[in-house]
Amino acid sequence: MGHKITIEPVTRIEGHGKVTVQLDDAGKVTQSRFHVVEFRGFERFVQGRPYWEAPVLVERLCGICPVSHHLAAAKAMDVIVGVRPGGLTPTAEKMRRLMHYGQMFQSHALHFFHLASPDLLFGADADPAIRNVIGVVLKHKDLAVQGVLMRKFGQELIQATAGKKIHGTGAIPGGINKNLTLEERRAFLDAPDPMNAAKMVSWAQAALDFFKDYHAKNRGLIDGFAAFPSNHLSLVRKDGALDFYHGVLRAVDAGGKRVLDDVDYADYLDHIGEEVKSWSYMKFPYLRSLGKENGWYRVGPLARLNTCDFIPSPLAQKEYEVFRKYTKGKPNNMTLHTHWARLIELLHSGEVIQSLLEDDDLSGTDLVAKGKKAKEGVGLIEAPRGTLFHHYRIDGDDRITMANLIVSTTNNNEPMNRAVHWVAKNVLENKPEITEGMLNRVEIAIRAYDPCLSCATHALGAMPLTVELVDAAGRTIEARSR
Amino acid sequence: MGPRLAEALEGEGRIRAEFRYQLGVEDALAVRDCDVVVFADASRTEEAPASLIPIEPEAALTFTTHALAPAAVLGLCRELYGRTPRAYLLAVRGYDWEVGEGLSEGAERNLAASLALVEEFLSKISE
Repeated sequence: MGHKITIEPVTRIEGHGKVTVQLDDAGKVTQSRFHVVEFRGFERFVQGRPYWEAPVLVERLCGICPVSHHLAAAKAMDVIVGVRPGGLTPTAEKMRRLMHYGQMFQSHALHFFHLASPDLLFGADADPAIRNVIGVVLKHKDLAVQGVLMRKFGQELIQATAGKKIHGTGAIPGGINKNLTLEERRAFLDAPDPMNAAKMVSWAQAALDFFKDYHAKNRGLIDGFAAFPSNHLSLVRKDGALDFYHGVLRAVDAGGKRVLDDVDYADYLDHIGEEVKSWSYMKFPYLRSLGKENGWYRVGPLARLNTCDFIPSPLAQKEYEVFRKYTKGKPNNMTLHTHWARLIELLHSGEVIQSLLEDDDLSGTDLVAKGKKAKEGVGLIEAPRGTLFHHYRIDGDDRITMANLIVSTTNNNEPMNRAVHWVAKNVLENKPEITEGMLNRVEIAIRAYDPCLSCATHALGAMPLTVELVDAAGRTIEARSR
Repeated sequence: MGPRLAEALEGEGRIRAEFRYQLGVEDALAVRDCDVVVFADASRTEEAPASLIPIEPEAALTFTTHALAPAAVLGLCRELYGRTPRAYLLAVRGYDWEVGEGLSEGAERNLAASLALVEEFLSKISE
């Protein structure tokens, strides 16, 4: 009789996910799915609230990437108060950029050092008791310490710009509510090692060199694991540069052909659809021009480096050229190369932070712009995990009547399913026994996307992990818990 | 519950009260130089109004290291920095876990009681 293997939840990602693999009697994979089973409902909860609350309300979706939601909501509210993109004061835009790049820095550092590195350092078959951050500390203490301090540096930047490390209040409709004094900026630039911007850039470069060294010794695994062709989508700056804060929508297919280009993200609904499936609370976005079957796409570090034309900081640009050369200028469709791309973005974030801190506009006093009020606003941003969409409508009493959020992890829903399916077909199929290492390979594929399932389903609370093996008749044959 | 506790204790000169949405790896650094740490949060299971429970460091495995348990923060602190503070969990009984605003009536009462528990604890450790 056939059986179904379920991994629930996936370890070391944010939120709650369940993986189900259905095998037939011959041990062949007939189906695999990555389910998200929690439902939170922030989009309904914010309805009826005053619009100016959106940036501080919606960021409570998540304790890991609240800044992304804070800024995406603020960008949407900018439009509602009549400030078009590009219309913020220089101080406001640069303060928000510093906040955002600080978040990118700490999020990418956390993911690599504490979530992905155990797999790379110990391998998929290592004992789960050491294949976690404690294991990294015991065996590679310097890496673990650096990861903590890089996260702390980014968190302190967020606190300085947003007012708090988590769930800050800095971005307001039309601008920002504080600036940085020269003393505050110098503190980040001139602090004794290691807590200064230059050291952070140096550590980011070292992390990248570590990965490249690892890749050189494990090319077969890193290149082949869960590699599959896909479309890629992100914001890019008007001139094609990588830009996490603002840009136009661009999508390329697996071969590099642009299927969406130079699109104002206010018109996203004309180009992006969302499919609902019965077995998951997470939706499945797709490019309308390619249809539901072929229009799914990746977002996040790998997608961003596939869609942009260059990186506007020198060290990261140099690394980007090496990255692009590896695939001869064509899009990179190798899932584990997301870690490489993420580390290039970590380096870029560090360089941008260092550059912004030198900018006197951060200490300006003109903080808020004004315009003619509108009834609807869309704000997109490149969050650490990928493109984040916030869309709101308000009524005559300034209360939110509609909220639509497409979060990064939702955009990666189909790619994560494809990655799970690849592992199921190539690692689980036809095996006489399902081992811990096999199950971890499923998770490695998902972890490359650094998913935040709390955001994707706007979920709250503790979520257990259970693996179930179910036969074709629906009977549970085996169960594992994490 | 956590933010309300931190807010109420903010003026208390003997302690540093900080709010966290969830505990993370950087909290190992935050507790490193403390003598005593109290992790306070709402609890679904502890008896009302509140309990103050000593905790020890653990190399605790959870399904995610995005959000760590207090014992895991202590465990990480021990491995990284070779020491841990005396640590306790202040578990304040809560009742309503849906998305919403404010505390339930029962939680408000228990919050008040937990503050008295903290005051008593502070007096004892000052002796």
